Amino acid sequence: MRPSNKLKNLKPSLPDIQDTQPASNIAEISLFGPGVGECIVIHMGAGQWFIIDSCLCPKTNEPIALSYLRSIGVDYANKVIGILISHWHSDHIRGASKLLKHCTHAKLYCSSALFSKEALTLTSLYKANRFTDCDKNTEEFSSIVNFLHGTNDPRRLEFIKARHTVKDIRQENHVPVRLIALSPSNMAVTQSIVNLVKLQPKEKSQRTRAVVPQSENLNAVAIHFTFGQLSVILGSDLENHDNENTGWKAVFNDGMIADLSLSKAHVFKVSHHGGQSGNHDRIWCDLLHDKPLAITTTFSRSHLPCDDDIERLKKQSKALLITRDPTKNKKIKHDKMVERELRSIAKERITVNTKNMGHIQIRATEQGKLTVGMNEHAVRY
Amino acid sequence: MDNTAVDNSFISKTSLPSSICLQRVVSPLPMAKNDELNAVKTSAALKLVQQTQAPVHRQNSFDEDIKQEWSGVVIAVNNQEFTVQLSDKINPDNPDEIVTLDVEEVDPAEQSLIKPGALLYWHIGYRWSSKRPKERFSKIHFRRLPVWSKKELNEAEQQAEKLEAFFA
Repeated sequence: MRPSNKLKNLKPSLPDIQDTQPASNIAEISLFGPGVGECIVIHMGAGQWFIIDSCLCPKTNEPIALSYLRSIGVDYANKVIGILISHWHSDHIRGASKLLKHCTHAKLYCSSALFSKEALTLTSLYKANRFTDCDKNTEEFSSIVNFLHGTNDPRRLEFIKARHTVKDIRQENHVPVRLIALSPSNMAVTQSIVNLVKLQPKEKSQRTRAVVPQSENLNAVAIHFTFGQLSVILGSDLENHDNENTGWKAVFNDGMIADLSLSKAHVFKVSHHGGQSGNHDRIWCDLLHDKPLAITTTFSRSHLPCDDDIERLKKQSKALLITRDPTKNKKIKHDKMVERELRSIAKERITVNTKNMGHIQIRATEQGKLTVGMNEHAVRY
Repeated sequence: MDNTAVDNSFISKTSLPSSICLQRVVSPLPMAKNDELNAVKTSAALKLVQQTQAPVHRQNSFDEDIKQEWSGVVIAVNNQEFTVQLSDKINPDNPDEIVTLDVEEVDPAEQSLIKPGALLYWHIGYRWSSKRPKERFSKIHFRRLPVWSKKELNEAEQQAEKLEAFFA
């Protein structure tokens, strides 16, 4: 069900985003979304930055993380310590190869399925595909693989799965900082590779433009981030499957919350663009404080989040911030005759609006005091 | 049918964009052995034909006024429907559109090509001829890309093994 304007009961906008670097004892979570695409820029304290996923700035066509970090004066070449590709979908990896090239001290983190022989065969095949543009997923991933191979330094790549600790600082005179992966589970990685096998073309089969399957969300890397007393869950596109050993169910069945003493979070980057498929009731009980701040991006290609999603998230959170107004669907002005023809033929039409970049910026002290801002494209429910 | 041998009888006397010729020239017939080459050369060949040969007007051919041209990729197929992501070729600054259509909108000879990842062109416009009145038309045409060869598949697998060893 697509979002409707009837639902629209937006609250007043929040203050503008801050355009200077945060102090070393202030954490930041900046969420960017142009309509289709997502990028999270995190200040982990002490001048260290971490980037999750990538999308392009509609104005400059460069990765939004680079534009933003440059705009606030961050030396990203030296200060970005890691880039996580949460999964292999174009709305999460556009521009990631460029990020990697510019952030020369950053490691790349991703699921091992993305560097399995099956995935690498696909990228090699479509790299040599002279007959058709390959899709953006494959093109971008191929660039990442080629760049890393060209560095001759395999240590710039680190595979990540559930329970993986990217960062863990717990020492005196230092704000405690932890960044831990909640997913993917071992079974999710295996299933994801099985799905990639199905994409391998057979001899004499008709060439198509490669399409990374929707099931690639199996590989989604959800993150638990802690800075002092602040905890944040960044849900990526992790979904709730029937299988007890994949998706959110695997997170809760694994026992990692207790084993790793993961504290309940105050902020939730809602998984899978607020869609029902990314929801699991135990997220709200076991991983989050009552009424957290919920933030998310839209995925206008699939009408996410829809009216029901927005209503559900409003009830579960103290505030819901979305990088773009999901009810806005700017129509393209076609020739009148074309419009008539389209109306008579098309069973459904969606415009993929990606011309404006929404930005939600959350800054926090080590005591967990939040300062939230957003730009003119983001909305507040 | 050899696709490089452009059938001039389809080219009307009016100056048309090459995309229109493409619609006429690329046949929905099964691909010949040389079609790998043809698939790449079709566009260039059409331009060459337009530059070097005087257009011939056949009595039953149409004049056309293309109002809209998209290139698209199939992103989902469900029963008798398929969904395509369309990029505007006339106004490239326009955002992409996602459109769901009935399979029946496609020529029966091309319906077997409808699968995720398949590429297509879609033209909407007017056409008319000396014998027929002006009418609206909508033509969805699927691109027939060459098949994968054993050599290509083997090379990709070898490259993947090399990369896998590097990243292991």
